[in-house]
Amino acid sequence: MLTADRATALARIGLGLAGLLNAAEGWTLLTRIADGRLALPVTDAAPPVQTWSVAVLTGAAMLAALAVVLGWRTRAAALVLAGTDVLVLLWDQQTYSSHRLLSTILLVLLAFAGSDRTWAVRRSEAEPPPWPRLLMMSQLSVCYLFAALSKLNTTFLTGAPLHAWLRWDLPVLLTFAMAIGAVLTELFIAVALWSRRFRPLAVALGVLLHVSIVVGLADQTWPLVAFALTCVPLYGLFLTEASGRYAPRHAASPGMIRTGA
Amino acid sequence: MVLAIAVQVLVPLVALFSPDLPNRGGFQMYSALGTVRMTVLDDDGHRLRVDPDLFAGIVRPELSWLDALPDYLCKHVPDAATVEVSQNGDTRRATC
Repeated sequence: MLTADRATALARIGLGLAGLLNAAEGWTLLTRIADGRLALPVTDAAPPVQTWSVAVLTGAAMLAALAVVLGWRTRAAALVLAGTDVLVLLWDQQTYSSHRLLSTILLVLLAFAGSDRTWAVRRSEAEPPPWPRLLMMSQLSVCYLFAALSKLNTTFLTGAPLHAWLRWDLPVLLTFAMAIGAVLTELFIAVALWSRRFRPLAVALGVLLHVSIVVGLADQTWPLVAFALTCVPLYGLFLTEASGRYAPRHAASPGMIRTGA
Repeated sequence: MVLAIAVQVLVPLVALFSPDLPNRGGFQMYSALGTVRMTVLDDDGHRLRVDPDLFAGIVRPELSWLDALPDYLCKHVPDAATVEVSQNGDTRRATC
């Protein structure tokens, strides 16, 4: 049975695995810049990208990501992994991606979410505060919401961009329908994850959406796998926390009674 | 808690109504906005192919390429004579 602790641990494992892929992606990008490809530093103060320093940063990110997956010194590992992501983002603009930004924010919240209470090599017994898990859920919802809203433009909705991005040469009429479907699906997931009635459908559509993105889009497969690993394991938080089980567990806390959470 | 959620919503909301889309921090992935177009011509006016391997990764539309890309393409595309890069309605040209 999926409990709140297991759901948070599942989110931790997903974010850790995504961290491994993000570190590998950062390594590829930054070493290519070190080899002479165009550099777009965020500021002139940023040190030049060199292979040895990329190796050090990537090594630290990989070790931290592995520790997050295993649940070993989870808080420190999550913060170190988030820190390496921030450094990568600040080093060169080309390392930016929405999934790296999302996972960085979620890792900071995860550090305080008590994700090592179960399925961890070094378990914590401390009762976590309620806010990290709720903010992880709201952050995920916000991501889907704005991904959908930004697609409400005449270019995307024609289906032509989707036609160009897909692995297969599908009829434009079909990619037009898929573009509409993608926007509606993202909007539905953003809202319906919070609805007890529609949550199972939102979770099913979310899994289907991410699988179809990974399988269907021709390029960027591993970053898209990282995006899926960042998002899908968080659904468990909605299936447990938002289902009503969350409130009684914290009911003894005066703070919780006062806020009526 | 309310403040944190407000920040979570307001940052991408402001990004969504910024003039140049897509932009960083807005979760506007695969929105088909802000396509970067580059045209490289040789001395005879023939269009030259830009090798994707010249770039570290994909040419992300969230970034501004107008300042750095024309000169970079001049240097790295063999036989390039003129380069034109367009993004979000702005164009920059370089003579190599």
